[in-house]
Amino acid sequence: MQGWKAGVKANICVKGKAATCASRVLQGYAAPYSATVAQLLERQGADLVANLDMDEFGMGSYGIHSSSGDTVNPIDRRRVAGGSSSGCAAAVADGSVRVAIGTDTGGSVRLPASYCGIIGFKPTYGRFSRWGVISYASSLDTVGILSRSVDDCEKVYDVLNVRDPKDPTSLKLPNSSSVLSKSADSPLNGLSIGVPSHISPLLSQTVLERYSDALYHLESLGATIKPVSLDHMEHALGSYYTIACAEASSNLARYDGIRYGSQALSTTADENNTANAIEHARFLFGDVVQRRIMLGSFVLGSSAYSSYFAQSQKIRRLVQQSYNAVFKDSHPITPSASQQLVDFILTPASATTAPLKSTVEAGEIEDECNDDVLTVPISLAGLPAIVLPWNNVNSSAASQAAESFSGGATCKTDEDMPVGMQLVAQFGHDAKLFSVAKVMESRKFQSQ
Amino acid sequence: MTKATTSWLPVIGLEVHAQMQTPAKLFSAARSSSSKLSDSPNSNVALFDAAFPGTLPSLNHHCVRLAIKSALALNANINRKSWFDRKHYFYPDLPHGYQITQHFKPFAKGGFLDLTKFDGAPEEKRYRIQQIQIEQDSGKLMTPFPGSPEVLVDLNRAGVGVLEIVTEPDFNSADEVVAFMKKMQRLLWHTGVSSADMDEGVWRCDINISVKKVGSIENGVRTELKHVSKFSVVKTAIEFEVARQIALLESGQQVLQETMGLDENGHTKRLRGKEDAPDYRYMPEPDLPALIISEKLIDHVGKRLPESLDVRRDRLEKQYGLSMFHISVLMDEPGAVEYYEELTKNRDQAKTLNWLISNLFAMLNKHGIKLAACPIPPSEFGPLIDLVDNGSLSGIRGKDVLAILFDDAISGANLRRSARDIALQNDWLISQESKAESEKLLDTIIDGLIAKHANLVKEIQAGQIRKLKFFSGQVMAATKGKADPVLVDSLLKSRILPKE
Repeated sequence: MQGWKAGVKANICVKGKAATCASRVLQGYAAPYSATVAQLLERQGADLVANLDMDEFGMGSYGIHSSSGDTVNPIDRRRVAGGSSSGCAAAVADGSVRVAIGTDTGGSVRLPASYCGIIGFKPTYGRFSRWGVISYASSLDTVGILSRSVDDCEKVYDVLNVRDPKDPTSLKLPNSSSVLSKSADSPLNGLSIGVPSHISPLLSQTVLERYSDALYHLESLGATIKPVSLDHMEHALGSYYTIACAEASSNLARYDGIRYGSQALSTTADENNTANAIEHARFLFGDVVQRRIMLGSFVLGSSAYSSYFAQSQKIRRLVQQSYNAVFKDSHPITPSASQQLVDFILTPASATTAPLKSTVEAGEIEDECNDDVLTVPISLAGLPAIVLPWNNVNSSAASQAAESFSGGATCKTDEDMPVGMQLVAQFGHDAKLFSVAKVMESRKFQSQ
Repeated sequence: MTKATTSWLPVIGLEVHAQMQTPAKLFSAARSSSSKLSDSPNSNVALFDAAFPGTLPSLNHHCVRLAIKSALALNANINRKSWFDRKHYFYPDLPHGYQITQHFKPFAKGGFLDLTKFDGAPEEKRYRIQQIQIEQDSGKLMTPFPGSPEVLVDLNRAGVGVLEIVTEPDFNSADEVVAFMKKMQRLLWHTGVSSADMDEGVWRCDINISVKKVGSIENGVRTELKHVSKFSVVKTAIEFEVARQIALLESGQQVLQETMGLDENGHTKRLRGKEDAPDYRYMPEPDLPALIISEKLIDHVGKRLPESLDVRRDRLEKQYGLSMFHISVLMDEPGAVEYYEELTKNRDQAKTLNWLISNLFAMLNKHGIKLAACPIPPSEFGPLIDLVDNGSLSGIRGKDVLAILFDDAISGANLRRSARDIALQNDWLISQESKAESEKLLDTIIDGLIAKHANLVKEIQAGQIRKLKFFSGQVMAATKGKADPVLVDSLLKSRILPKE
């Protein structure tokens, strides 16, 4: 990776560089050490560009909840870049960096990748080290990769795929091999790809068309497309938000302005009045963060714990088992009954193309959470996923690859905006994703 | 003031917090400053201990082993699977805003510690343990400048591993509590779990106190007295609180569920009430996997446990014929039993004990050194005892040699002279000839005295043994104090007392 410019999200520590998490609470904070993932990239000769903008502490889907202002979509600057890894996606999409590492907790790499028309990869939970990655939701956070080609993404994957003893959640996982058939015409022969039955009602017309197109192409490359039914999906969002908010309220409890970060007031206070000092520092959090901390504190309260938090963990287990039930590969740690139907699952990574900033700000989108249905259950189950752009072949502005991106402030219609397709594999089977993704990347314009 | 009045019974439970004696902290590699109060502030703090963003805990296996030791020593059942939980509250001495502890599934459950009269308990009784859990210690806050609003935070202690041992409410008096605390503290350093230091921080207890009418099944409302560490304040505090509660109830009032501290007189005072009690929002620690303890590990650690305190006490009595008093003197001092056993090998057990307790302990005290850090090992001390025993050295000179041995060792002198060398250099060794000569001289003196005080001799022979002292005094005076009193004594006895 010699000479590669690699963007680093503002919640991943690079020694001596700012790591603000786009929050006023960490304004001016420079990390005293480097994250393992940052060190691994540097060792390969990468040139790190740190503190790329994001939604504050990883909470947000549009890239508009940053203390330093909004990130715009380079393809059409009226639109949002997606979040929370908004800066990373924009920087990769407009060519400022070759690759970027962000974090994906509920879709924060996959969603912006979809909106910006680039590759987004989320590994199996525990595959990439979280040492030096500033925690939002510990059991859901993963480091993710953004790039313009599957090859570049795989290269970064190989560099980061190292077990780290400093991270107790860093798992020793097997590495699966390519699953492609030998046939040049039907490289996906023998592979089954699942289409979850609950997805289509959620999708916009544009996305639905791209999705069908993608499935059609996969079929023409030899894959078998199968409808699959995933149970408990209607509860997945609630479970995710309960767990994520709870863990966030806990992980963000340390921001009190005493040892690092900003202090809203001077911290002089007598021993009985230290609460004031802490309180004032914490009011620097943005609205979304404050709201999630409050929700998280509530669900962990002694009267709410069993109905909310404990229940959500049980639902989480059921969601994991729903995926186990359809995948042919068994889960390496917590296997359960399976009908062994598919090798992969394919869905769009977002329900729509990147929305207009004006639409989002006007509050016309009900809440930021709808897109989450496509990405969140995968996070709950800790599964690996890759998002690659599947764009409108017919459009005149079909310069999907960001290499040929002009950099001008073009306005694009919904049909001309990129949409990412999300390919999901069973827990631990990350490597398989690359082989299929490469086939999809190279073949997508051939058949009609 | 003793325990209850005739109709009230105190019901007391304890939560013991003992710091684990490990080189590193529970979840970070920073040096665990357990009992090293002299370290400068914030000198043993890893990034994790200060909750720097992006850091994660790494479990110190040494702490797990010590937890196993304590569970085995207290006859508790080790949960083969337990896990860690976060206990949330905001305070400047708690950098993460939560403490990593074990709430839902602690390390061990059940267990007991028996107290006997040897332990200073009023009666023999078994005290049940409810559970043992592993957790982090917090940092320290200081307000060193009275009147100034400044609060200083020292994180040296933040993250040090602590064992929390919770008992059932089996105590019915302050005396029981004190005796139990002493035995527990001794047990913990005996097994190598905790240091023997009584510094606040290494060892502290929370005490839950309530009272109920004798014969009643239901327990009364209890108050919690926090962070007591000195044995000396425990008795006063408990008795005051018990009396306070009884007075309230007898006047028809309620006891409120409160958290208490101590005022300057060692009396309980309210810190906060139940309404102000925080909701800790316990959450399983997502950064740490479950703790799985194997049978193999338990066996391995078990083999390295020293004999239990009661077994040791029994053995010292039977093997060495030590008195109860001497046994407790030895067992109260870390390392004393081991030192004694080594020293007394192939030597007279009573004499060795005397040398150890009367002489070595005194010397250690004088220099302010603990036996565990004694600069003279049994291998150097032993030969000195032998010299005196075989008559080559007088008892008095023996003590002088000991002092010199000590000074040599402390001064760090490269040449460590043996006891014999020291005696030789000072010309204190008694050779066989000089021994015979001085005996002859003593015989002469004694003969003279016997002749002069024939009446006294008769009285002694008739049974007034104490009057021998007159003779020994005379002999010492005649020799200007140089004679060996032990030798003088034995000669007098053999010359004066009737033959058996």
